[in-house]
Amino acid sequence: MKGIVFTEFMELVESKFGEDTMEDMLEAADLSSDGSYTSVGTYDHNELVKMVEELSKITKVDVPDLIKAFGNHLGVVFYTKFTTFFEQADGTLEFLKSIDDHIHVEVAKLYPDAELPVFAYKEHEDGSFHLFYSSTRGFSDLAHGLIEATSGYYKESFSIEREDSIEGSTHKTHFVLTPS
Amino acid sequence: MSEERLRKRVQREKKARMEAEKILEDKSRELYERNTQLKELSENLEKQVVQRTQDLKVAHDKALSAVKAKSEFIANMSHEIRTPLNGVLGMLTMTLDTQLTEKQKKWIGNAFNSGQHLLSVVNDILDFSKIEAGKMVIQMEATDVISLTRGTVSGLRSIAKEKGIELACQFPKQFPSYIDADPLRFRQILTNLISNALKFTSEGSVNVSIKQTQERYTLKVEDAGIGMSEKQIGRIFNAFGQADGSITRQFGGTGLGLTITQYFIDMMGGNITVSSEKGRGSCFIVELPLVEQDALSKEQQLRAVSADGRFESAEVLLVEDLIVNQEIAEYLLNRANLKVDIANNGKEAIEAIEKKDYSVVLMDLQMPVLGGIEATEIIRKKYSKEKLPIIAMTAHATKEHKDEVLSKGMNDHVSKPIETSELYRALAAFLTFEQDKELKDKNKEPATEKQQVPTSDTQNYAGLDIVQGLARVSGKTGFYCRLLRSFHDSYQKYSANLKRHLSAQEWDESIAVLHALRGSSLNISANELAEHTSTFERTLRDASYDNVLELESKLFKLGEQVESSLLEYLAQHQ
Ligand code: HEM
Repeated sequence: MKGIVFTEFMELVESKFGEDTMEDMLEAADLSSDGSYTSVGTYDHNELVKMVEELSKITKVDVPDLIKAFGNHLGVVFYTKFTTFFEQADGTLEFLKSIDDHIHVEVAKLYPDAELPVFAYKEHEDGSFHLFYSSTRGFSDLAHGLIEATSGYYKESFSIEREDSIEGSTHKTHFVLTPS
Repeated sequence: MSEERLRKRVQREKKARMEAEKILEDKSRELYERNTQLKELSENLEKQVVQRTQDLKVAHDKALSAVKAKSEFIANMSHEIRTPLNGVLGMLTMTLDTQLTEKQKKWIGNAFNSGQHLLSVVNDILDFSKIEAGKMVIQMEATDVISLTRGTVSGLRSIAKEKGIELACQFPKQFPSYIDADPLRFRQILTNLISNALKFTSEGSVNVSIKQTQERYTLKVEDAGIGMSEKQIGRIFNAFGQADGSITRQFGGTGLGLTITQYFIDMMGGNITVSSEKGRGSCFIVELPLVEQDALSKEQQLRAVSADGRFESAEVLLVEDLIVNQEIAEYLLNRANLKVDIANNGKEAIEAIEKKDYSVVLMDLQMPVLGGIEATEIIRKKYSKEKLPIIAMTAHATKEHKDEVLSKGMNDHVSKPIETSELYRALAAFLTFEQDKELKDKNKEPATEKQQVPTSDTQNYAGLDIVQGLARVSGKTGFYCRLLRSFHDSYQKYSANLKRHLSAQEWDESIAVLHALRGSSLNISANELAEHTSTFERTLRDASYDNVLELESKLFKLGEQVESSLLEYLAQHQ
């Protein structure tokens, strides 16, 4: 997984829970990289999983909530760093539709070794929007947080329901967004 | 925070920094290498492009010279075929005039027809290569279209009869005897259309009709043949394009006839249209403009009428080295009531002239001992053009060739193989027809009066060789004006297209426009423009584009000059 995800995670942990919590987390996680990340590097995504688990133990916040919060944070980072992608779309749904065949495509060009999830979508006549996440890494919560951050950018609000499943090593999540 | 933690943290940051630096170094090295590869690749590519372009140019040059060699070969071959064929046809004509049994008459007649057919094929090919090379010239004169049409139709009757097809003609009662046309080419148009109609009709009839309004002559050739689809109609005027390939196999033919026909009609200021229905038949309509008939000189009318007539007895010297040709020419001259002496070469001709006064000399060009041009130059030192007319017999029927002959002191020229009517027409300028004698004595006009080009006319038109232009159309001002007008119309189109193509660097398209412009310029004798156009064309064909801007600006300068000259000419002659 790309370094930017790790450095941003560290930023978040340090600013939200303080330096000491971060050091505790790192000590407990006992990572092969020692937690020394740079945004231009590439690291094992399991290190992120490990850190989140330790952080959860220390802070007593559930893992999914932590990851979702991280998704929120990452969304803000994305729209400050990659503003044009957001400007190209008129709203949350249009933006989400463009992840799979535009945004992540460009991301893959920029970082050839990036591991990206697959997204599909469907619009129902009743006005609901269905987004299907699938990835071997299982970061549905991150996606959830990113979706919330996106609707925040466009100042739109949705009720988000989700259903998780696992097929073999593939994690799948069916998000349903309904305007509220 | 404890010191231990701080130390750890600093260490962690240092490690991250070093790692980042290493990644950056690796990436910049990679970038550098990629860059180098890219550079090599693009240099290679450039080299390849240069090499390929060179290869292409070599191939292109080869192809060009092959095409040129082929055209020359075709021209030479046609000539080589025409000469002996002329011998065969001449001998057959003579044989037909002797006592023959019915059977023999039929056989010889068939042989003669086949020979004529062969000659027409060779002529098509020659005509086409001349048109392609922009060397075709038409000679407008007062032409008796009615009798020409009648004659042509009756010549084709035998084919119709053989196929069991009716060939019907309808002519209006009051039809002017003469319209302004090139009789040779007019007959070619007729023959082409009618024999096509006959060829593609297996039963029913072919109708030929002529209509005429104030300013238009309309020829309609209708058949009940195999007809054509729209797509086929679109193709038939293209060179080598019969309606489809199987037609060629079934019906034969060069596929050049209609291309040539259309060209001649264009040159005479007319147009041709086709309508057809598959399985039903086709209808070709030719429209030619009529000109004021008063402008025709009596002499031209006489010439046109008497193509088959007899002259008042006169003595003619025939200079020719080939026995076959001697016999044919002698026969034709005798038939027209002329006495003939024969000289085998230029030297003998000079000797003969010293002994006797001849009314006309007919002079071949290529002869042993002394050629025709050399002999003429010697004769002209003593005898002027008026005193002793010399008519050249030229096998190379190109305009350049004829011009050269005239510049060497000859009065006129006829092409070989000798066409009866062309020969008599040429002779008529210097001899008197039997039935015209009285007429001529009464109004003492000189027989050679042609429409003279006033000399004042010739000076003020920069870029236009008015004398030559008029000469090409037998001095017909009206017709020349028509050509100028049509040039004016197409020039607007050409120049716009050319500008567009050149600025878009569409070289092939530019070449095509230049080629067409050159043809149009030649037609009106805008010689400088034609020459420059052809230089320009050649430069583009050689793929050298350095001087395009210069060439372009010169072209338009010359073009504007021609335009303003022709407008001035038109203003003064309408
Ligand atoms: C401008 C917008 C975006 C950019 C620039 C972006 C870029 C990235 C990058 C760089 C990664 C890391 C891949 C790796 O390290 O191998 C990633 C992963 C991911 N992205 Fe995006 N992304 C954007 C929008 C979104 C949105 C809106 C969603 C959610 C709907 C999303 C869902 C994910 C998920 C879930 C992952 C984690 C990898 C996985 O689950 O397989 N992304 N993205």
